[in-house]
Amino acid sequence: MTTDTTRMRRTPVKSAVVLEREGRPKMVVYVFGAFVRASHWIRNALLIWLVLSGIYIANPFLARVIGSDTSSNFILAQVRGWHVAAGWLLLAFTLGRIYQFLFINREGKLGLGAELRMAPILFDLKAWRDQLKFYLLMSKEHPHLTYSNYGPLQYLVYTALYAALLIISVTGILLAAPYLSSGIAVWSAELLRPIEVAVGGLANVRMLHHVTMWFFILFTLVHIYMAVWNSMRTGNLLVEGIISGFAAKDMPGAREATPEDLDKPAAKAEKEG
Amino acid sequence: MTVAPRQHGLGANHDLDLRTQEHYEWLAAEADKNLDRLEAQDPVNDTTLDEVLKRRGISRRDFLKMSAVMTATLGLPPMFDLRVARAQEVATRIPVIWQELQSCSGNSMALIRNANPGTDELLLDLISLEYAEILMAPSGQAAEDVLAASIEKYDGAYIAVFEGSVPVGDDGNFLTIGPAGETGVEKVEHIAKHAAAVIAAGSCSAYGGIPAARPNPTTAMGVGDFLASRGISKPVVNLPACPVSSTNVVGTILEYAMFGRLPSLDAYGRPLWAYQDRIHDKCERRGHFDAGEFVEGWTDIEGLKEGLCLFKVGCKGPMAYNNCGVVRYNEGASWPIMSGHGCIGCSEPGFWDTLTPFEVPLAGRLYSTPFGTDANADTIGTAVLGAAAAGVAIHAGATAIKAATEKRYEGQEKE
Repeated sequence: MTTDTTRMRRTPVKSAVVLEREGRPKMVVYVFGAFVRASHWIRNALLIWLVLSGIYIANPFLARVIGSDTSSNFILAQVRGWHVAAGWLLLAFTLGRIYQFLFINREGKLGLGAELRMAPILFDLKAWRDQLKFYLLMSKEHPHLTYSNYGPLQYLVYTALYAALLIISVTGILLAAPYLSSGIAVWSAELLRPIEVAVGGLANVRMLHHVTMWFFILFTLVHIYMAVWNSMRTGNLLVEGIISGFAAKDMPGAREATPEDLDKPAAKAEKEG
Repeated sequence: MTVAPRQHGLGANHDLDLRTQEHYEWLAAEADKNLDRLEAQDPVNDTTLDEVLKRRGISRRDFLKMSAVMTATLGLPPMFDLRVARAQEVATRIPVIWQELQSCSGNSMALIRNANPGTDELLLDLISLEYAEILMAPSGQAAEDVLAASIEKYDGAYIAVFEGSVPVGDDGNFLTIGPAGETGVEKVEHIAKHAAAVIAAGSCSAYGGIPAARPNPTTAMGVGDFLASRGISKPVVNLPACPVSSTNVVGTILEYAMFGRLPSLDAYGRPLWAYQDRIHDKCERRGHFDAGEFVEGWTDIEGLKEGLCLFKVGCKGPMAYNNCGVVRYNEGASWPIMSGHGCIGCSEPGFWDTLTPFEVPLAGRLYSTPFGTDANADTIGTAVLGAAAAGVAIHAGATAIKAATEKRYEGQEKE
């Protein structure tokens, strides 16, 4: 979508390409690793299946034909079974991602998570102002983020996304367990039982599961729009990036950012937090 | 681990890894010990089992058959048949006080209106029912005197059965009982304080039930929650359902007679032997559920005749724990799903609010909206999605206009 105004040329920077778009230099860098891209699309497929099968489980709409193959194929039990299986896979990805968020530091080693350390962005009033101005078309410049990969709005929404993933997983386990006699769902449901009691019984667990589904549907619409909009407005190749792995970033030094910001982001984050 | 030790385990001190047979032998020895202890006590009730059997025209053989059925209901193996029979004989040693609160007396009615004499009714004759407003001859001050005398006489030994919720609003004045106008709050506090154990019979007593439904004008509470809020710690067993099946009340009393303790409970204080499985798990129409064969509506005569699953006409069986499908009502004659209406989940905490609406699946639950009309989650979700899509369209349009003006401005600058 940006090719007509974009020229590519080799630069001395290793494994990076510099783009020029309307006179603004950008550096193409590898931002999304293979695992991140694969898990993004796998989870996308899982969520589509989970929403569709979930709508069927909530109100089974397929027509019945008494004495037909349906009675031997156990269609609802099949759909429910694959719904639960997809749910477990989604939970596995979710827990892996939360582990990375909490415990993988900048060097990719075990420690206080690099993304967790970006949390001060949530309380950064200037960042909020810049980001909202950008989205409300009051500024053409994409906010320059120094210590966080995410803008405050993004950080908030993604945190909410993972909270919703946990809520829908916990309620899903509590709903799946009564159908089974043993196994991981049964014993994990025993551990999670206090949550079921706290929300007031299985019926409320069921509704919480259903309402949380709508968060994902809404998130998907807004997420796709924002990604495409961002990609087009700033030419940062965000949409292409989640397929190819490469996205465009501002050239260091080409902006107002001081070298200090780029060298010691963690220290700056601590200072501001 | 088998299911049985979980139902009849004695908690953390007992090694749950005992093999089943060993466990039952140990459990039987416990029962014998406790039954011997009870037998050594003086009966508080003059009635004897022989008398009751003769009066009702039940042979000893039939009595043992009934006991065997009760044993199976309690989830115990046949080696307990005679012990359950013995527990009924010594039940004359157990004083029971049955107090009505904010209730419709439906649970008492269910207990006394059995079509045929069974274990349930036999036990009602045998236990020493010291005080029960529905059944007793005295009224007014005389009834209150009986209550006071019973509490004093069997202090710390009787089982207190409560029926109905406790209204705590307006200092408890929504419910006053007796000539002295004692409030329900005072009654429960007094009776429970001196009891050995508390049974909450029926959904109102267990969780507040219908009186506690929104907007809960009397601030009704379940008995267990009420006692906890007043700092009165007594073993409480909840026997919810509307009405509670008489088998579950009698089984709990028999279990108390046999083992000298209340049964193992689930997270909501319900005995596991009765409330371990959902209605859905013991349902005779379950096969149709898994096969996706549903009654599509109340005009779907074919589906109703075929006895298809009632999920789409609002059955809450998948959310409700109870043993209705096994013990059934009216001497095992029938139960709601057998008679063609879905379960309404009356034995669940939060009933009525969290289980409505009754005629559509739970996803159809209505929420109040700021627009004055109620809507279900899907309607609200679709509306919000529509609003978000409109927002996206407006933002995209605004961006296009903005981008065009930016381009023109840049063009002018170049010139």
